Amino acid sequence: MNCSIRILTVLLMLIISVSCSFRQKIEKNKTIEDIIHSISSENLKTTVLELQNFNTRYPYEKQLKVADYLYNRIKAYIPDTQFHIYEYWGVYWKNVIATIPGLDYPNKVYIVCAHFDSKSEKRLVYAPGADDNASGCAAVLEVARVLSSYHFKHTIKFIFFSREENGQNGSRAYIRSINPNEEKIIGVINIDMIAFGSDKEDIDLVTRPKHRWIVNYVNQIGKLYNIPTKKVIKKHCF
Amino acid sequence: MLIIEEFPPTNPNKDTTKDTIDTLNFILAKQATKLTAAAIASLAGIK
Repeated sequence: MNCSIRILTVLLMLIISVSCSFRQKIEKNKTIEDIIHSISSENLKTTVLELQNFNTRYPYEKQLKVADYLYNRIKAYIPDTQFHIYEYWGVYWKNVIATIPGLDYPNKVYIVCAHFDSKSEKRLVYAPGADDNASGCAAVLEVARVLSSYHFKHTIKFIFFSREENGQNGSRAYIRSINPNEEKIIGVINIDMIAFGSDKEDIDLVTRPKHRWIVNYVNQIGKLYNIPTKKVIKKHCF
Repeated sequence: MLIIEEFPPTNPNKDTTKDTIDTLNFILAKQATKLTAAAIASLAGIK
């Protein structure tokens, strides 16, 4: 995890417009247990390998190709999949957005996201980025796959962002593009570098103090379904 | 905003050309994916 990755999330945090406390007791849900059991390691490995096989996801042309790849992968699960195209330094870049519309509160949105670009000392020719952040993209795809069979009260958006490593341009452009009167973002889960470490590691849940409600909520979910987590509230974490 | 990430984080000084699939732990990745799926399903109000 490097500083630039953490900085990416700040911009998303700024537009979270509802500060929820979620103090209600969360109870175990059989449907959610079924969802958990259907997560596949093999699917995660396949996606990471295919993303690594691009050799690098840093140059402009490569990022466009990776966006096309992710678009085709997630569209197979979620028909409402679109490119979000933005201009940066005179050229057009792509984010990928797949939407499961909420049945009761379609304008209230939860986002699950990951960045797909990679970086290294040899970035123009070789930056495999398996952990950073093919692993996050694989998780977003797998969550989209398992949730695509269900209906929800709120809208869920699955987003793959380009150009995170160079200043979070993809996520910044997305934030600028939305109309807060039409899309009220309730919460965001950004998945970044989830596959490095021993089996005994906890999963870090990282946020700033003002957004601790979502860490508390997800931590409760972890306890309920026996997934070890560790809360990390940082004043200046991003 | 919540970030789900590994612990400890990858050493930022390591050689990032070696960030390849053979160094990854998919048990950990699967756990994080399960947690994300469960959390979003619950937050978004699964029907």
